[in-house]
Amino acid sequence: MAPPGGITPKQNGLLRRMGQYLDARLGFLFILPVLLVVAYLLIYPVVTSFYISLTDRNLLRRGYSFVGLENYRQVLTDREMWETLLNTGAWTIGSLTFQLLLGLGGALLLNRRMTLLWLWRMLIIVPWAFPPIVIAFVWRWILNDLYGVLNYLLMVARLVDVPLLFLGSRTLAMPTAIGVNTWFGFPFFLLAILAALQAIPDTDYEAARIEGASGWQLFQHVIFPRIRFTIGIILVLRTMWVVNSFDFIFLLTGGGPGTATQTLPVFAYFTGWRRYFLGRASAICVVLLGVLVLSSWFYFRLFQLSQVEEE
Amino acid sequence: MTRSRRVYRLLRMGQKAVLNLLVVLLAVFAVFPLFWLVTSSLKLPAELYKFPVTFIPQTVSWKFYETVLTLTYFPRYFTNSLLVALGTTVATTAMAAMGAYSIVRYHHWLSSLLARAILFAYLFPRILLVIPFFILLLQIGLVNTRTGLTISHVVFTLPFALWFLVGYFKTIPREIEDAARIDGASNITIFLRIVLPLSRPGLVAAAIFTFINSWNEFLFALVLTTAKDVQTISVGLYGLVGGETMEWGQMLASSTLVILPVLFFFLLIQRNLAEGLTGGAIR
Repeated sequence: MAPPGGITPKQNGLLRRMGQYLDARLGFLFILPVLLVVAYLLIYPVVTSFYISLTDRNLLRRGYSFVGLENYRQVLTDREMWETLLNTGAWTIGSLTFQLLLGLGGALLLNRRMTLLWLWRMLIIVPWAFPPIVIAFVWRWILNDLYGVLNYLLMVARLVDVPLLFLGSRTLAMPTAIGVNTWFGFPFFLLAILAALQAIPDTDYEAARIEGASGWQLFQHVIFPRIRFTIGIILVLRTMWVVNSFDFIFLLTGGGPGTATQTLPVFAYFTGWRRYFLGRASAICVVLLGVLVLSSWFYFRLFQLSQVEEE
Repeated sequence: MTRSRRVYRLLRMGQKAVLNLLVVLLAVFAVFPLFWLVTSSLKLPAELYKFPVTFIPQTVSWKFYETVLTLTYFPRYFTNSLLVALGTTVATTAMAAMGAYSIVRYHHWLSSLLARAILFAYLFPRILLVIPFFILLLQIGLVNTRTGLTISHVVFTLPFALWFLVGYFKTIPREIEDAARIDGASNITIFLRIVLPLSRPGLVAAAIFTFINSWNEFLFALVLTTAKDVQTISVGLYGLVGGETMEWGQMLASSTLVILPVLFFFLLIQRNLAEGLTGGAIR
């Protein structure tokens, strides 16, 4: 096989040798861009943000000075921070619970010999395609108290007398946000669990039925052990996503009304870009990271997910 | 057939009907917002603000689309999003392909590290990254530019693309490459002429996924771009929210336009997604 390219005999010597030199080191050269991106654009900023959290960096002025743990002290004694933490907890636990329930239930429903399975799969995955901004807008439109279709349906069904202020009331805002997040997140659970369910051979069911197992026992001993791992992984990933999610809450409720739905990422953003305290915002982000690391550790213990290393 | 048998059969049929109904309800739940979005955007302004609500537009009107496309900054935002998303896709896919190939063929030990690194990347809040990134771009002078935004998008799309392609390249048998190498082909030729064409489906999937992620992105666009001529649709649309009066009609029309490319690509690779993303979890 002739060597690639059309190199003229004149350039042959030097160019060829250079090409061969580089070619022999392809493995190294190819990984270089990725390493550079990771090092300079990922690791460096992360480390920098830790440093920034120890300064009084401000968006309005150039100079800044080192202030040690002052930001953390201020943040952890701030009443708003504790309210935000509570909101974040409610937001996370609520969203995940319902996403899991709906996803699991849906997966069990679809795990039968269904004719149009491909159709249902395709329809259920639709929420996934929505950009956060469109999700927020569409749902705001649906939940609108004056023109929203949800209120209309509720009133037609005589479930309520007056339109509900879904996103405008302090009590309803968070449950509503959780509801919208459930709509967005359940397909993920459903498809992953369904795939795991379909990997269970029919013989397992038969064997259990021969031994006289009832529906619930079937679930306990045949189904659950097989999907336990999948559920664990999905929960870990989704928890990270939900806790980290800024777009969703910011676009749907803006953290409001007031601070009723304010979660950590939104709080960090407001601290940095409305109150201009970049240093303090970084500190909040570090706290957020701490919360995530803690919950991941907790998950790994709970589900005994050390097998993830095999991935 | 005995009577009890008949009852049993009826119960089973009833049970099946209920289960099927639940499936339909679930699908409706998932799809309704899309349906509502599109039908609402095609209504006349008068019909949009009517209460009681109509489910199918009485008259189909493109008025909102007209307004959005001619009287707002929407086309500009759309172009910006397109440029940023395309730039991100090309850069990320190229780097991910090269890196994945390097990992699979040369630095195998890295792949297990990579899996854990991906989990790590997921762990880090994007909001954490935004602040130093903002400062970094400020220093380079790339704030408020599409290039700066593209770079930031590459950073958070690269990990997943890399991980995905590593998994994909692993499925390409070594023998083909070894055979070519025996025939005297250089490494780069093998990569360009053999491996890449063979992995086109995987590359396409990774590219589409990257495109969608970049197209949908909001936070970085919000923080890193403030000038109207550079902003992407996510931020541009968000600007429609400001003030007391919400231009619902325009919002609905522009949202439909925004979601169309995503939906299109999405349905293209939805099979891939449903299987690919869960494959790792079950394996």
